[in-house]
Amino acid sequence: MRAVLIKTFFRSFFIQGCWNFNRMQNVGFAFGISPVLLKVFEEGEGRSEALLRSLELFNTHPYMATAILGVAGGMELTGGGGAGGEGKAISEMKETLSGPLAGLGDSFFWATLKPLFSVTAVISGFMASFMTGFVGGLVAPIIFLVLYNSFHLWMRVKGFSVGVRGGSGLIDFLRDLKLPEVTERLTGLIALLTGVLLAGLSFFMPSFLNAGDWGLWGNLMFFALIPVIFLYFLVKKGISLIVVLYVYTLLCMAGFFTLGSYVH
Amino acid sequence: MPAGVIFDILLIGLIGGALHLDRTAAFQFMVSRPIVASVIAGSVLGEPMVGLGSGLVLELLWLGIHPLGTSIPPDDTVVSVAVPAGVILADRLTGSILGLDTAAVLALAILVSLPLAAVGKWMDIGLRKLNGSFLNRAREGVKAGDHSAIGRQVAKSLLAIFSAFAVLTAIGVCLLSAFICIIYPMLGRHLLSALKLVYFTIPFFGGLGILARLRKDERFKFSAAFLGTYALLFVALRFVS
Repeated sequence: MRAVLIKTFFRSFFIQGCWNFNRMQNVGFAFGISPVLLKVFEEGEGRSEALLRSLELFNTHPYMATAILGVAGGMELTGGGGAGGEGKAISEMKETLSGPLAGLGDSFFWATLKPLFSVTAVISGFMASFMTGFVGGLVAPIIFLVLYNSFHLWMRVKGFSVGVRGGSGLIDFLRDLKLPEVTERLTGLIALLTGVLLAGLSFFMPSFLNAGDWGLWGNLMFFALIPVIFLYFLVKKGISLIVVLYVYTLLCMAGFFTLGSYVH
Repeated sequence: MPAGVIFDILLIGLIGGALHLDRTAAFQFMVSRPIVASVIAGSVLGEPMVGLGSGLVLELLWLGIHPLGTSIPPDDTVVSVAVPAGVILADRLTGSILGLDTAAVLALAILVSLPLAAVGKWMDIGLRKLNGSFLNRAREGVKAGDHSAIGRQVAKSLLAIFSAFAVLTAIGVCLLSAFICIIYPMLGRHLLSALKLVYFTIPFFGGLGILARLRKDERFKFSAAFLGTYALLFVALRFVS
């Protein structure tokens, strides 16, 4: 039984392996749960029906899907979602958990942890670059991967093991994590760190990459950012960041072309 | 074109395809993020610093863009691999691209390759539509008693994603390096200065992306941190010098 669950856990890394617009993560979910279903149901005794049931619509945050797979696997193995109930209990569980866990996972992992550790890694990378030479900046990707994946993998392993045990364990586990409160605090931290990073960059960016003669930027520093502040209002109005970047580039080129001879 | 460069383009294509799997389809360890993908691409071609120079600014540019719900954001992975690879291969072909103005050539490469992010997004949407046909085949297989059909369709989907993005990355790198080889030597001093300025301002655009999503009290924290750090560094640097 343990081997089957381990197989299911590792298959959860492919939950979005066949993401489609019809039923979203359903093929990934069926792929994950199939070792359990093949063990529980004998050939010709509801195996195909159980596999077809597992192909129903499913969508949640991919890391949280591991926990839902754990609950479904545990229910199948203990008979909680067995053929007698025609898998209704598992379908209801999936429907009940997938929405809220998608919201929690999106806001905590995508919108909070990812930018937080990106900013942390970039700050570390720039600091290491300036202290030890540019090569020191190579710590940035390592810091990012270690920080992010320690939380990511912990959530997957813990969510799956709590889910397999069944009962209200997963709900209690998630409630104890207080993810909405933590998310809110960490968003404040992202705002602080981004402010610190950008202020630091406006001083040290010109010496990054051994860029040599700096001309206008070296003299103007903060003032060169004024157009960026104006462009912020365009971003706020919903204009794409990329479009705004192209507009800024054209302004820079026009500015240097017309004023260039006065700058150097 | 030297055989070594063709081999490098194929190798980068394979890396682009493999890293792209991490974006959505498999694992999601975030090796597809610019800060990691760019450094990997640069390191494979023997120039990790070019990868880092590209990865740090692209990471910040994409800081506020997330795949929330079922939304599909512009594809940062293909850009993150193409930028350092395109610059390094252009340097190999001409021998005069990397040097004092690495920042300028990186800015040019980023600006030119940003449309690849939109192409990657459209391809992602197309592949997800294709996955619908894999779903149908999985259902038909299971109905016919073929219980390994689900796993086979997942493998097919992964192979389709890998292949499509390997080709997109390889084509993107070819076009980008050719563009840099032709255009970059033609740029005058003023345009190079403008590109350098753009390169060093890109992180601030990433900051705008984050700032636009923050609540009022969080924007206050951001502004306080920015101004406080700026004042501190201003005084400290004046004192030191």
